[in-house]
Amino acid sequence: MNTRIALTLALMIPATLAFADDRSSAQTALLAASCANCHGTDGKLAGAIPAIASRPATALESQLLDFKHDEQTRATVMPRIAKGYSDEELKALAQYFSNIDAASKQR
Amino acid sequence: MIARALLGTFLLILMTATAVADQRWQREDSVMAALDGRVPVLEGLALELPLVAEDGSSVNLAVKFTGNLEPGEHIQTVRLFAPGNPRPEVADYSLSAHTTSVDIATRVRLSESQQVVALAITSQDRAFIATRDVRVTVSGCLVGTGEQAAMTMQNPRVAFAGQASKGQPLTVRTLINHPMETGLRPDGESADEVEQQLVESLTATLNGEKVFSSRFYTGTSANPYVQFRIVPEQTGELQLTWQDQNGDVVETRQPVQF
Amino acid sequence: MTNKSIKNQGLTSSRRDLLKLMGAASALPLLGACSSLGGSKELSARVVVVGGGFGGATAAKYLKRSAPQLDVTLIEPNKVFYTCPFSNLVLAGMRSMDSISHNYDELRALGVRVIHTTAQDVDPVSRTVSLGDGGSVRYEKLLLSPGIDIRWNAIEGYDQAAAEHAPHAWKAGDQTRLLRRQIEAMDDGGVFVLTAPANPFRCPPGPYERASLVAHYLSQHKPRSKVLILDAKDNFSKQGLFMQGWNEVHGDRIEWVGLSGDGKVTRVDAQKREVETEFGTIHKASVLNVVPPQKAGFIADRAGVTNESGWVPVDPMTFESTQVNDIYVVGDATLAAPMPKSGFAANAQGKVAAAAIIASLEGQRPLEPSWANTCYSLINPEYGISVAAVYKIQEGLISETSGGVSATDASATVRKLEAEYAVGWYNAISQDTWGTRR
Repeated sequence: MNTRIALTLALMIPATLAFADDRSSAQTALLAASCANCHGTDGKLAGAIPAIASRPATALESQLLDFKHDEQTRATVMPRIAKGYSDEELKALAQYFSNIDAASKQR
Repeated sequence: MIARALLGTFLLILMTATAVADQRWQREDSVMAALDGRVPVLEGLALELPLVAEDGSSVNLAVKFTGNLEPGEHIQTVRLFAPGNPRPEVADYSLSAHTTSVDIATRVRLSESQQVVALAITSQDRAFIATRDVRVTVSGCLVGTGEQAAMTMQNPRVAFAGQASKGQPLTVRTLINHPMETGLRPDGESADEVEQQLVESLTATLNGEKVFSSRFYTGTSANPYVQFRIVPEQTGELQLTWQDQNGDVVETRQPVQF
Repeated sequence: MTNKSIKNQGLTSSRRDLLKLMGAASALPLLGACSSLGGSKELSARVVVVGGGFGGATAAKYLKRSAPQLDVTLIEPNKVFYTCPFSNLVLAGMRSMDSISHNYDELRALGVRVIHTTAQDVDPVSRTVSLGDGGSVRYEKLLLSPGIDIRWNAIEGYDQAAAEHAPHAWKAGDQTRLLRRQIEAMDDGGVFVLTAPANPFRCPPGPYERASLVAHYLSQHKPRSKVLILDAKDNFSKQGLFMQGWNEVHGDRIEWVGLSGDGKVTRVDAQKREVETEFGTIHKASVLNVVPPQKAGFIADRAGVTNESGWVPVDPMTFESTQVNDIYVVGDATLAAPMPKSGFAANAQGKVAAAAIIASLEGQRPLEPSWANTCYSLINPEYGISVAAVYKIQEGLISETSGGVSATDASATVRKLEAEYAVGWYNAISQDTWGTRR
């Protein structure tokens, strides 16, 4: 094998991985963008509807699954919404919002 | 030259294939039975429906004829089919030579996205066909009438759009309240369906002469609505007679004045 | 449409893909940008957004957040935008106009160039938008969020002059103020007549919330007055819940006449405040509110993206026009059923279109879209009902994957909770769209 091609390939493997990672994080960001309408941009707005940014992923995930399986008695719209997502998507959303710094001042 | 001829042939085959591919009505038994061996003309009959119906229980439909007829020939029947419904029949309309312009509107029930078909048969036994694809986002089967509607015909209404004048087409609108139970809807309590109850027909006579009639099937929406055109030659009275499947009759009249 | 611009993809995009792959290695620790919809730091192109409502403002914001080097220009004639959501509360005297107003300061702070003028025309060949101030802007990608225009004269007698006597108030602003003044000036014992159009139209539950809140106002200030809704439909959004709420809260103050009860209005006499129905019934109003048939905002017509229905067909994956390349359209103007024509849906579509524009500029295939919608309606200030849904692509079409309306047997506590959530919803979507914080 030509060394130059080998080198190019070697360089490209992590690049491809990073690309895939980038893409999947953009995909989750797009999924999560729907949450912002009620929870504020990045899930950071606290009001009658609670903020969801920075909360532990496990807590968010179990709450979302509770909504999905009608195990939340005081719920209103969330059971209707949570049923529209797969368990994997709910997990990814929980992870996503837990990673957002609620204190950061980004617009 | 040969290459061009070949290309031409190829394009012709391609175009024919496309035309045939869109003629889905050829696979519909109800439509083929109604055609009864006639080869329909594809131009001349126009079917209007929304591209997207957000409420399948009542979808506006209009059918118009703008094609060419032989001298003395007129459209005798117009039939509507919704092949994607559990039962494809929607309505049949019979026109007399006096109701010369085919301009009919109604409200239909669509259970799912589908291609709706209209057929017109002339007095010289020629057929015209028109089709239209409709996307249905809420099925006409899912929307109940809410409160328990009376199973009898009530509140017949009739109105003319505009002023009547001698020899000029006059649009007639008419409606009657009735749930048009298809017999296919679960009653929500037992395993049974709500019993079928349909308005069966509407007959319009102008000064005692039959000018238009309609036969309704499960594809006509609740509270049947029909709009059609008459051409009055003299003043008098339009009489509308609605009949349900039990033979009960409701009549309403509207004076025609120039 | 024949004036399709030519797609500049093919070879170039695969080369761009490769460059992007090579470049990504050096920019590896880029994953921290949580809210990015996929744009790289270097991505630069001119994107023009027309319309600063829910769809356009959201798209401009998310484009800029995701790809800060993008040149994002927002064209919106009004310096202050009034929302249709919550304008019914203004009509009922529950809120001020100021409380439903939004400006573009936050979008400017984010780096969006905001130009306050009208977009007059679009030339998809030279990729130019001509502006009301005589200037023009060029684009590589254009996003239209045109909202609705009224179909004047679709109901006989209802034209622009008629709207000064019988307001539609279906675009918030001066029309809202006018209708509010008329309601306040109405005599006790008067009839507020609202005419509702056939589908599709902006804000499907809107007419019924308006009737509810006007009835609430009347119950407190003009108790002998009534509300009459004349409807061109037999079925409407959240119908069961509205009717239940009217029964419980408003008794016989609200009367609704549907299509099969002769509710379709065919003629309006705005001066006399009188309407005539399909079968010739005349109704006299003290205040006449005509919610007329609608179509996509006019710039959509100018851009050649509307079809015979008057609305805009779009590719559901990207919200790019199916008729003209590189023009994306979001919001009420689009044919996106089963998604409703709502502010929430416009916001959600704005994000999907922003992500699709970025993916296309990067030479990548679009991300898998998903949308949500939640609409609250108030029967009175303490009685809220909602509809919510999630949408994804199934078999190439937008389809509802879950959703539904509030329970019919919900307690008064839950109704009150939903009324509170309605306010939380309004605050959150305002912040997410324009950055407004109150």
